[in-house]
Amino acid sequence: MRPKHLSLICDMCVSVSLECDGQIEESQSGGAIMTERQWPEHLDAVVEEFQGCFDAMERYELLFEYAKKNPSPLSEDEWTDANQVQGCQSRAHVVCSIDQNGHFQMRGGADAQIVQGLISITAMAVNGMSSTEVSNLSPKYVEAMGIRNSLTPSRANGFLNMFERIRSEAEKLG
Amino acid sequence: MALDIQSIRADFPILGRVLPNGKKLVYFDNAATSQKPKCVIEAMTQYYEQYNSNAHRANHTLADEATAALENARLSISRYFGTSPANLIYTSGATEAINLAAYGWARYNLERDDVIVVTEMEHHADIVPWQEMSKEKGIELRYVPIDTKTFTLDMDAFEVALEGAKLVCVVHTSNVLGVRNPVEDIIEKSHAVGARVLIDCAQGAPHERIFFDNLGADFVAISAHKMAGPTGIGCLLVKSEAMEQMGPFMTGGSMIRRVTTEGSVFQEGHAMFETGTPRIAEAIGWGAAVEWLSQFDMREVHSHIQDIASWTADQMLEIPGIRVFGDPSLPGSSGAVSFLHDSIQSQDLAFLLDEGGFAVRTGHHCAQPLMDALGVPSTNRASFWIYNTLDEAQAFVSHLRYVCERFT
Repeated sequence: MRPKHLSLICDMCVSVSLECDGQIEESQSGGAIMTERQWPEHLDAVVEEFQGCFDAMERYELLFEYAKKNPSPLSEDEWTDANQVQGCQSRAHVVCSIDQNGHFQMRGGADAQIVQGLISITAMAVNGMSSTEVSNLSPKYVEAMGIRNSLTPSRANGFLNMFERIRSEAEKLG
Repeated sequence: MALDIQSIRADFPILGRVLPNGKKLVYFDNAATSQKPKCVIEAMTQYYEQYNSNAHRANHTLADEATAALENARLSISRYFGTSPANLIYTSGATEAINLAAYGWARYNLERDDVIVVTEMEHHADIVPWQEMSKEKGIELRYVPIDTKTFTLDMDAFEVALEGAKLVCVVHTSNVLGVRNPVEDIIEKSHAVGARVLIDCAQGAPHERIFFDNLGADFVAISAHKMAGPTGIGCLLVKSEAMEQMGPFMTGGSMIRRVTTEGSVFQEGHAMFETGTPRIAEAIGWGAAVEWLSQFDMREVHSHIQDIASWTADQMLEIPGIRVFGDPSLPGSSGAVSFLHDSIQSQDLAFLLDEGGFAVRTGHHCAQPLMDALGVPSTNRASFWIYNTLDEAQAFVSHLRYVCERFT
């Protein structure tokens, strides 16, 4: 299913281009201009930080740093089969819940630092959202960050499998 | 005569590829699949452009040409493997070949409490079909362990496991460790106790000539795509007396002589096992691949690959934190060098190597029992083939050293 977006300013528009590198996308349909966010506003600073990196190696280095400051870690005793995200090359685990205020919360952990860093950033993105917003979230922010390998549709892709797991949990919790 | 590697490389258009990040491709994932020479690509293109038609069915010119090309490819491939075309059953690859041995031979010939011997070193393709057969028929499955110090099969344990065995299934060359097993010894000992033997040559065939009739195994499984051929095709080589014991695996078109509402009469020989429209383009491509490979002395090819693998493994071991699994300097070892860094997870390392343009494999390599024996969840694997060079290996080791220093 094609992901929806966080806020649609004009719901009259019928066609949306997904080919956009920035956080704001504009498209025109029937003379009306539509603007939509590709990721939550509070991720803008993170995306810009990655976009400011000199090269891919520096981006990976930054991602390793985000892996270390995971805002909602998952203790290793919670790395159970039930929580495991299926993926050939890394072991990733996530737990999703709704807090007492009705907000979506996720915690996660992975043995791969790149996946762990993306879990940290995804947790920053989704924690506190409604489950509907999470289920409609697109992983565009990762592309904008320049972590290109993490979005290939491979069965072995830890991040994408983790992202789909979070979206599907959000749908169930919603 | 020494191999002319630059001339060989010129046969592979993909080796000139520049990746999206501007880095030149260095392809070290040959144990997963090899690249294809121009002659293979052109043979398949010519089939689709000039005589695409279904084989063994019609009497028009294109159908005759397609049928002739399919069967000529069978002749070339069977000659390359030192056997008769009658002993070659086309499959989709080694995995389907092993499944064919399981469902086409073991299901018809083994009974409850019979014993199948496999090893911890096997690819899942040579474990899971036997596990399924064990469940279905009540067959005992015995695993021969590996010696985790030498990375070789425990041959003493093999001889113990062999008692009462009806079938022995062993990988010729490990896709993870690069270790070549003593298959000649295994075949002799297995036959001495009356067991049939299947050798998984998916990794062995790209590194040495497999002469099926001389080898003496009852079944040999091969994938084309690891030896310059296309994906989607391979074969099961079967001794004539073993093929006579086989029954249908998949049923339907092509494999029948006569179908009535009362039942069906099947074809004999390899035709019984080649159900549906054949893999015509793929067979033609594989035929071109073995013709291309035939120009080389595979002992020279293997020596070239082993030199690069041994040099790379030695250099890697000098990088702090790197462990190497297997010993590329062992006689017969292939070009696979599995390694792991003690603090950079294997997938992370693969991404970081990819940024330098180096394509390596990461994961459990479809060999989880072996990973369990080694005590690791996954490894990185650099695997070399005929067109790789020492210069590429030097650049790889240099980038690996840089990555390890920067990310630890």
